[in-house]
Amino acid sequence: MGNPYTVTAAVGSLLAIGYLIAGWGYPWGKLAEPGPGVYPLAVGILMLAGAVGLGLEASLRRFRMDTPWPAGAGRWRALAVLVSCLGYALFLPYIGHPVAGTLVSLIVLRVMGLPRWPLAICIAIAVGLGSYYLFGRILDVPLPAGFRLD
Amino acid sequence: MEGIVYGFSVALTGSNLLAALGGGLIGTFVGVLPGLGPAGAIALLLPVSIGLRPETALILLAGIYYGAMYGGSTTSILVNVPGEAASVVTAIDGYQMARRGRAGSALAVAAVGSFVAGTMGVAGLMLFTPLLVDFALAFGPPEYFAIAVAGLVALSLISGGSFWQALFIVAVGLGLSSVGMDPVSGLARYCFGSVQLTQGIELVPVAMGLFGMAEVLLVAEEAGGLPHLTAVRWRELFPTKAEWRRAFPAILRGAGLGFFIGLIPGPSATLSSFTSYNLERRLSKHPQEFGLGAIEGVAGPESANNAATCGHMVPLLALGIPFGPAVALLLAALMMQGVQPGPLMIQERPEVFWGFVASMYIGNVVLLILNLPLVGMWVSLLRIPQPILLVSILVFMLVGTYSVNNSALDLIVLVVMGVVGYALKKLKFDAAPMVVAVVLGPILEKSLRTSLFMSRGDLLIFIQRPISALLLLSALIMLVGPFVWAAAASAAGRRNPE
Repeated sequence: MGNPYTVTAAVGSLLAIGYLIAGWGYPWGKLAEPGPGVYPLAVGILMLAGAVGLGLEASLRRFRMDTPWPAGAGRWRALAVLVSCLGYALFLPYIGHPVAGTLVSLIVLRVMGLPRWPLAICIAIAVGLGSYYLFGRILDVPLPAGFRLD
Repeated sequence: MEGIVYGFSVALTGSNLLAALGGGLIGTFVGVLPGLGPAGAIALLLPVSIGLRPETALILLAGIYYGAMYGGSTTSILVNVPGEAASVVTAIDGYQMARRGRAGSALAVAAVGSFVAGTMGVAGLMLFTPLLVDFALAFGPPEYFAIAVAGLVALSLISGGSFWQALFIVAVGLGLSSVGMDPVSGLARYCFGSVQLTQGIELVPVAMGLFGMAEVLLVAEEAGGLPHLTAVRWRELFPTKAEWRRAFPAILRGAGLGFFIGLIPGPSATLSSFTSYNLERRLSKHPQEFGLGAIEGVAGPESANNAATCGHMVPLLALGIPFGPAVALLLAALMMQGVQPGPLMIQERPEVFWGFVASMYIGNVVLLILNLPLVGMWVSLLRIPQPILLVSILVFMLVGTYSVNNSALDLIVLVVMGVVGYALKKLKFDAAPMVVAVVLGPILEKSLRTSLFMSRGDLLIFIQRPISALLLLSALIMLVGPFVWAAAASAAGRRNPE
């Protein structure tokens, strides 16, 4: 899949180019009255310079090449945690925190090796409902309830 | 003198005492547990602090910062697992002392050293901040631009890694700060039609993602087992007279060194602990013991990292400029409360400054009293099954992020920055400059545009003002110096090949 540093430099360069293109239409104003486009232009140039420099260093093998890509079971565990958090972010407004929090907890508990389903389910429900009560009711954070829990 | 007396009258109220105790305990907890770090913990509690009074919020969050320095030494000494970066060097000799049955001495010296250095650091904070404030009252937009540039350059270089890597990371942070409505023209930048993005990208999900979510993903990937834990009995907590005779001078040296290193941008607590360790090894009459359980190797670094946290607060409180991610979050907390740290804060909000200083004295006493007797409890936290600990931290992080603006967009930012932070950790790049750049970005842009407006477009304004010129020159030297040095060394090598 390639040297991770080279890939990072390539992604960074694309990010910088996209940033510059997206900000290209913002007015630059005059030197005495700089417009909102000046700062993004400067930052975009710095970002591109940094990414290109990083790529050159990577191609000259200045970095130790012992940073492995995530692999094996560890990769899938990290991905599962990530996807469950993303799912929480997308579905929270619709299904509410008690359900979303419970589902995230259940997935993470099982992925991290809690062996028994009944125990994982009990802990997940405790975390989901407990956190809703603690934050939603005691600390007054307006968490979506999803279903009425009054 | 009246200031500190007033400060104690503020700090000794029920809510502020509770905040100092709570912040210190949470900080110790975070310091004991490897991974999260004080910056991540402050980010987690930032949403909770919004409902508090400004001085209470600052006392709570700062308590986490210096509490973590107390907690980090516990796992360094007992299980050779540093709770946070500034305690890495403590593990070298601290763990060896534990293996020789002197764990209690190491813990006691670390705790007392942290207390003495923390107290001396607070005294330094109390003395230096008003002095710097007097100096900073002459600052205008050009000086703020110059100090922001110099701070970012210094932070990037000191954080380690290559110049290009640091430049890229800082630029990404500055780019994140440019999202939202331009305060001068009202133009929506990088919002892509989203109303929520016009408010900008919040610091809390960025910091929580880079430090907290990234750590969660790493732990999920590595899924390590529990370390072997050393038991420590209460009667073992007293060092011998000989140990105190060796430790105490190291504590005093560490305190002085740490405070002054804390004044400069960068990971000052970590830097000060390493510098102190090297200093103690050079000065010691028993240098051969270093690496095998030298008590100075625990006393000096642990004192230095505590004093550094106090030094690190000086630029924040006096200038309103953060030189590290944890203090950047403290700045964010104060700004959310409508308090602008800087030269006028001591005059306009004395209860915030003096209350905070006084609470640090109180917090250090409380942490010293609590940490030693409770060492068994802190260590037992490591027995909590990792899946349960991970889930608790994760849910706390998700709810905390959502509570800032009740926005699902913040959760998306948290997840995206978590991936970014995870990638940075795997590549061994430091994420701290990115967080500081997110905070300094608006200051940088505003001061640049205001300066050019003041000078009617004359760029020489930055050089004509002496403080600004000096700061920009320092930044240039820091940037160019390593290249010049490398070229000179290479040329010398070619002239003298043997």
